[in-house]
Amino acid sequence: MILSDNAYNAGFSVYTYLFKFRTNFTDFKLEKSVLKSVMNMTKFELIFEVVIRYLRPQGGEDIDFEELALFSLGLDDLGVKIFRYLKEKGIATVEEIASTLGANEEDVVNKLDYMYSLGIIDHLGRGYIHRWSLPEAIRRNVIRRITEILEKIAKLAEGGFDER
Amino acid sequence: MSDDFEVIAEWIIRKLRDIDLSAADPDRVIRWVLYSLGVKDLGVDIYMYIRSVGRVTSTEIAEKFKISPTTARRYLEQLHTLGLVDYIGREYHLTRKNVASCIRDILIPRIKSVLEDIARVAESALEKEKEERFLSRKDIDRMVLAPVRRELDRTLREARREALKEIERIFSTTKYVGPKMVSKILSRVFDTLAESLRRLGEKTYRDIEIIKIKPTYPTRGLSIIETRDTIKYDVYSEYRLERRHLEYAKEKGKKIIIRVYDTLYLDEGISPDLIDVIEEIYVFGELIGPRNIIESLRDRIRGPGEIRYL
Repeated sequence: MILSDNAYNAGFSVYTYLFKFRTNFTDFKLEKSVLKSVMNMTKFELIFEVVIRYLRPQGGEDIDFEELALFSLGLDDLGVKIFRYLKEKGIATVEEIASTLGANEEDVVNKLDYMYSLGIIDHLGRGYIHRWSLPEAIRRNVIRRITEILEKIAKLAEGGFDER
Repeated sequence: MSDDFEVIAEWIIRKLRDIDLSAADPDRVIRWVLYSLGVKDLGVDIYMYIRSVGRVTSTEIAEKFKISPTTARRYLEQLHTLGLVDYIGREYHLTRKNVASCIRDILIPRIKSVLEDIARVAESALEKEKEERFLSRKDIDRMVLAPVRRELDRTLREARREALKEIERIFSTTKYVGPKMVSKILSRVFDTLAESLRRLGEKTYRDIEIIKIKPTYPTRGLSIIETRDTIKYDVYSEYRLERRHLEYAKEKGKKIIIRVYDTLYLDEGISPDLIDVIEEIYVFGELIGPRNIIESLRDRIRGPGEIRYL
């Protein structure tokens, strides 16, 4: 997701969206607090956002470890379905994935871009490629990319905040 | 996300467009830094407040920022998960004055460790898939050997019936049965049997092809079973355990358990710092290795077998 430079516009869009689809009074109160939070948001342009979760399986012995790993990397149900489809096919286009899974093309593109930016799939032309096994991709790409982002944040903190 | 999983901790890491350090004031820089780490504005204010006062409780934070104690704790928990603050009892303080060193010394190792855990979880999924691809002995017996046995019984019954029918026909039509005739009968019996066995062989081969049985133990005299936590070696012939085997186990975070029924050599290249990965060695045959390594493993070596030093 790339946020607009103008957070106030973003806040207004969120407000409009919520107001349009929810009428319940309790929800409206919640929406106002969401709006307030969005309106107060510091203006920085977002390039990429990754979510890492430490998850615990809830009971049961039949754990889907692949799903657990993918959710831990911030994917949702659609993301997991797309990853599995790519794993089965090796390579696929957005149109093919969207029509097979019955999903919106834009949603599929967003999920694929997230997975590509994370480093668990590859992208060439119109094709998205399952090139590495998931553990290999995590060790080879994900750890390196996230460490690089954090290193950069640390470097900026050092130069612009810690020293003053 | 599925209800099958509970979120214990969560990190949001953002790659933001760079800011111009020469023009930005420290407040804007820290907001950029903390927003990059997923902290919202109020979280930043709380962080700055702790920085200015040194030590603070969640109740004081709640009062200062006019939020509920639960909300205050949620923000403090996030700062704690990021390694920026720590606490003793109810009192929170900065882990380090320097944000960069918090990121480098606490956050990066923490995230790396979580990602390594996730990689291990993903590895378990691969192992499970692999296990599912291999048939168990019971399945092999049920799907391949039992039909072959049934087919073999049927073939032999048919061959016997054909042979008896032929013998009966010959005896009913021929008065004199000499050696030539017996030889002819036996020859036809064996031909029928051979043809039946050939058909049986083809059928079995087709069945095996279809279910793709792969050998799980490719090395003769050695069985290696790798599970989530351990690597189990069963040594039935001579085998040399080398440094690379222990390095592999160490890298994967697994323990080695060995059962020696013949001879196991511990390679001289194995260094004492690696032997921690060996959980147990059961020696029923012979264990040969450098004295220092065997002595260090003494409490983990069991069984009635012989131990010799190199």
